[in-house]
Amino acid sequence: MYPARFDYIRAEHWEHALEVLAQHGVEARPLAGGQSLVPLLKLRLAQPRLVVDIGHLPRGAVVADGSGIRIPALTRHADAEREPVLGLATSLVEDAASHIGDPQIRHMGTVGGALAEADPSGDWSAALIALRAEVVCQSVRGARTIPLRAFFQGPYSTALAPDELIAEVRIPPRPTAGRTGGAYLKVEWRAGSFAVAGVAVELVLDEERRCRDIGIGLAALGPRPAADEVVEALLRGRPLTDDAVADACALLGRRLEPYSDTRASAEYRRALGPVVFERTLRNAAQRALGGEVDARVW
Amino acid sequence: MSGRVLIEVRVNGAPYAREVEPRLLLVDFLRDRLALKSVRIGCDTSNCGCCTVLMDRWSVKACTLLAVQAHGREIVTLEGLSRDRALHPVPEAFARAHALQCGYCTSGMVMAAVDLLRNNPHPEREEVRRALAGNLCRCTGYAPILDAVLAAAGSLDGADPLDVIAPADDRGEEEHGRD
Amino acid sequence: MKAGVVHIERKAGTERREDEEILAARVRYAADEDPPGTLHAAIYRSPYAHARIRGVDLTRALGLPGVVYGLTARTLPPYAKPMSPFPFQTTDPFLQGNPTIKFFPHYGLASDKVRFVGEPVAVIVAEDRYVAEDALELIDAEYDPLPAVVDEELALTPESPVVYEGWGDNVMLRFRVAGGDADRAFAAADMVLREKIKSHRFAATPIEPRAILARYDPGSHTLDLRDSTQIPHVIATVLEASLDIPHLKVRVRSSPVGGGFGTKWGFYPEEWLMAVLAVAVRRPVRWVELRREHLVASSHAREQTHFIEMALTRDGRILGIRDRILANAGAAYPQGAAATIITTAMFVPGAYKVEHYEATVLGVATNKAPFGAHRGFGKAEAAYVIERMMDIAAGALGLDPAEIRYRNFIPPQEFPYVSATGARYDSGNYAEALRRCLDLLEHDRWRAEQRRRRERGVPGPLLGIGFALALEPSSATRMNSYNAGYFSVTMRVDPGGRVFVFSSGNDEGQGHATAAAQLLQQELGVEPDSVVYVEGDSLLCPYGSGSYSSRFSIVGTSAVIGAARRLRAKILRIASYLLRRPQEDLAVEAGGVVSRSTGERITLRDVARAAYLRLWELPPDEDPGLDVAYHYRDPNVGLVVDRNGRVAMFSSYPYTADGAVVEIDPDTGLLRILRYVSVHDCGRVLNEAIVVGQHLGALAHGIGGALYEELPYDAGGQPLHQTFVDYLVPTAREIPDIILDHLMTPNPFTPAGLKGTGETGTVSPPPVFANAVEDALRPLGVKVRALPLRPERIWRYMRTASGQGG
Repeated sequence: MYPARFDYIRAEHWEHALEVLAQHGVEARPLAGGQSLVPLLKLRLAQPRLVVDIGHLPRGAVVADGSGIRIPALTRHADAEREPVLGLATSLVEDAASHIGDPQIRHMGTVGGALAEADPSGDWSAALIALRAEVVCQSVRGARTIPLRAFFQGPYSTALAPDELIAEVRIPPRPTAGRTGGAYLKVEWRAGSFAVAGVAVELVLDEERRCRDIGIGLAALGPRPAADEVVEALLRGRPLTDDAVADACALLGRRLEPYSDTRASAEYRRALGPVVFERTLRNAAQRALGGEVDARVW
Repeated sequence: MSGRVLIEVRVNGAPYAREVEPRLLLVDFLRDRLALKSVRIGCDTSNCGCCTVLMDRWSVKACTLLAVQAHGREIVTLEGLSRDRALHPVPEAFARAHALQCGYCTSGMVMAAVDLLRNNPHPEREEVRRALAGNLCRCTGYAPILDAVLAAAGSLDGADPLDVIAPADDRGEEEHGRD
Repeated sequence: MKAGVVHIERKAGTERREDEEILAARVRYAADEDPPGTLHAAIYRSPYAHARIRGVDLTRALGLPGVVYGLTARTLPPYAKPMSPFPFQTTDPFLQGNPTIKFFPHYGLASDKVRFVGEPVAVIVAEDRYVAEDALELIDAEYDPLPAVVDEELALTPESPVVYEGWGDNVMLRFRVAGGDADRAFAAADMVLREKIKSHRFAATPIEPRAILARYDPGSHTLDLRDSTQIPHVIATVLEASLDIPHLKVRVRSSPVGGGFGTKWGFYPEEWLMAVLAVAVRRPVRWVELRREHLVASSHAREQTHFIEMALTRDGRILGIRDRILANAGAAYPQGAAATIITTAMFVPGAYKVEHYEATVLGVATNKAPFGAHRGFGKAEAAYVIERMMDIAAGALGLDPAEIRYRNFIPPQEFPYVSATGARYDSGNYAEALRRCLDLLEHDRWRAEQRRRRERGVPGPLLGIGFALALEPSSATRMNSYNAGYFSVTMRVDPGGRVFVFSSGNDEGQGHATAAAQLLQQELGVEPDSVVYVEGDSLLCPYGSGSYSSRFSIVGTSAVIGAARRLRAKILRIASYLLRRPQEDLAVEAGGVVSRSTGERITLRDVARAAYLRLWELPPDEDPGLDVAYHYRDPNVGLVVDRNGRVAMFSSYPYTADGAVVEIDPDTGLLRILRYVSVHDCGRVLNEAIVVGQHLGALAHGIGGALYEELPYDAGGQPLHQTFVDYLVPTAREIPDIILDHLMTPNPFTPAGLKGTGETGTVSPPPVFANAVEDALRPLGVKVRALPLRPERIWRYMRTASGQGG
């Protein structure tokens, strides 16, 4: 497979990339690690007139402070997997980042690139949705912050304008009260293949093991990476009893809008969703209580 | 901005400057322009890992990178591991453990193993499995490859596999000429 | 060899001769050859499963700068004839009494109709592959789509679209084989089981895609193909027959090949096309297959439906079997579909003493990619069916699945055993292999654990145990085809004392050079470093049919031994004359000949110099030169088929008794392998590392087929798994550490006692896992009806059984 012709600009700096995008709009595609774009170019499913390379620009550091965690968009999956700042903040990111593709892909692919691709089965997307992250999108027109829950609009479709780049992902600070645990579990047919179903949960328990707060992110279970805020609301404030978990799972199952593809039928995904959710929820709770978990779905 | 782009890249220790079409894949650049045939194509879709090389010391799949993405970077291929007569310890371990048959996946497999052993000099068997999940082999059934990587870890004894390569002679352009 | 998880350590003297070139990055596969001036071909393929071609216009494509040439079926040069038939596609005297094999004279480009997605329609040649691919987008093709047929049962109905109109129906092959008296056996039965069992379409997918570089020298009329094929001589022969060029000489060079596993045993349109193009453009033309092309348009295998009946006594003895087999063979290109299908019919009885047997097989043309060879070649399908039937019969009779096998195995003392289909099984001890397998599996302990869980209603994973005895008849022979039961080797000692071996085999990773060097050390006492082994070159090597069917370890090694012995005889005659010692006093060792009584010694070089340079030192009646030709004729195959279709098609019968313990997640259908055991018998072992390595690789391949790999089509004939993103070859994470043991019943028919190796492991996992999953789900009364056992399929079985829907 061989890409069609395109022109190429190696951005000199971030602002240069924004200027080029402003000038060329939909005809240009940004290239970070290329792990989503290059396959599309090779399949000739993407045939941009211009590719703007930002992959060599300084990546910047992951920063954690009182306002939360800021992950630069050019952070590679492999960086996130190993990043101590993120590891301390939540196990969810490591779970998700280490599930993506294979080592070689994780060495090139970036967080920003994965989010911009908006694959419905994206691991990062589900994890960051559970964490209620926001993306900072920049263009020459300025910057705006979009909650990830509003960012994904459909399969491979986002709120990003053609002249915008994702600059940064922001994860809000963890609550100071309560005990927090996160987990991401994924059903995949084989190591490195796309998720057949993935669920991310970020959970805050109070001292009585009541659910103080919960974030749920779903991968490959609907037309776009999404939260389930109704299920979140159902659990919020309730003790995590077996009954509460069962109610939540049943509700989640009813609310899914799964799809069929070559990997799995919608019917099967509908059945998997609640099962994977329950296991993820238990892992998150276990971690909140300081326990070790098996990071495999089974 | 259109037409060909100049890239400067160090490959196996030697500097190269070449003009390339922006759409040229790194794997074709290495194979066709620099004659580094160990970088092979097996699937086109970033699944088989036959094209695995190290870029700035990280394993990547050269079929899913554009050559322009290698500008200013340093690449190591299987050709760069063993100089002169003696095999590098990682390929040497592959021979001893019968970790290759047809040999087509072997260069990528070795480079993925080198990447693992740089980051994790004493891996567990399960960690080797995870590290090789991006490389397919149809001949060996993998167990001999796992054995080879564990044996290589033993013989390197904590040394970075890239540090045991004999120093480059920096000949690059002079040696290979311009194409 | 000790039983257990094997960690291969190569023994001194068995190191692979092939490795250093690979590991030092000096090896060159077909795609690595690109001489100056090479042009690059890209193939435009049908997007339709079935359509009439209205027109293909290359005008715009040929106008693209960098494009040099292009062809459609309507613009072919006059020397291009249809692709010559391949073994078994002629109406063959072999098939007396079973006459139906239909052939369609395809060109390498579809002319009137396209018959599967991916069929070549046009080809573009350009200065580089990127430009050639650009030009494909400028081809203007128009089609009238036709209804497609993808299901083998529907293809046989009168309403079905007909893939090849001239045939009148979709039957491309009809074959019947019968032995004993099945009707009487069924009349006497206590019980008759009737089942419909399907094996699914998947493929061998060597990691090296196919690649061809063709060059034509008009001065010498020589067409040189560097081709990633298993059968260089056959390709040379069929290409010469497919091109109407006076004085044409075709040379095919193949080695080394990056894995074949059967896929590269076939005559493909691309070989034909590159030859036609190289003659037309007078420059080297190269085509390197994309994986997508490989998955939609090389060859597929295994897809069969069996309507099988088994007659049994109350105590579980098989009285007879009848089988009606429909093979979904896709389009009828010359890739050897018929041979795989007939093979299945020959081996449904497997390892069991079935005296009354009758099978009819229909090869059915559909709008799918053509059938071809695939590691396990027709025998995998047979083993799947019989090993499923043994479990089903055990269930029906309330017998233990091991016990019913023990009651029916061909006993060790009956070898060589002639089967109901005329096959002559060389040797084996099936009961012993299965017993060892069950021991290593810790079968009784797991069975007790399973009972405990079921009795106590323990929630959680469902435990299943499955096993199978898989036979892999090896070294195929079919008279009046290119694989007619022999293997040729020529051998020459040069005046410097080196031994050159020219073999008609072909290496795709098996290590032939290593095995040959070992044999020469045994037979001639020469060091491996002084052996030069050459194969995979139709010009240099003796004529032969290449590599497939595990032939090298059976007839190939036998031919090397035969040639070495013939050479040794001459060496000893000359040495006897030179040393003035009787031949009985002489021994070959350490690169020379030594007198046992005097200790006097001469080198092989001395002998060679006498033979080439110093003829006065030769015995007076001895020919000069030191070379021999040897054609090993397989003693255990039949030359003639009887009126009932019976013949000994295969010469050796390696087998494996495999078992697995699995757990299934009742909520998701995910499957976990807790233990996998394989007890393997391939006769004597020449090189333990190679044998173990091949077997482990084959098992991984078989596990892939059982659990991950499939090539499904939608109802309109679109292939759904077109890349390795969807076609899931297992990785190191999926393949467990396997517990191995070896049993050794020598092959009495070959000089070294070797059987075939490298295919058996592909055959066993599908029935093992089907039996294990069915066992795990037994409380639900589930029958496993399809493979691969992906989690969704297992989940559906559980759901259907628990009454939650279809």
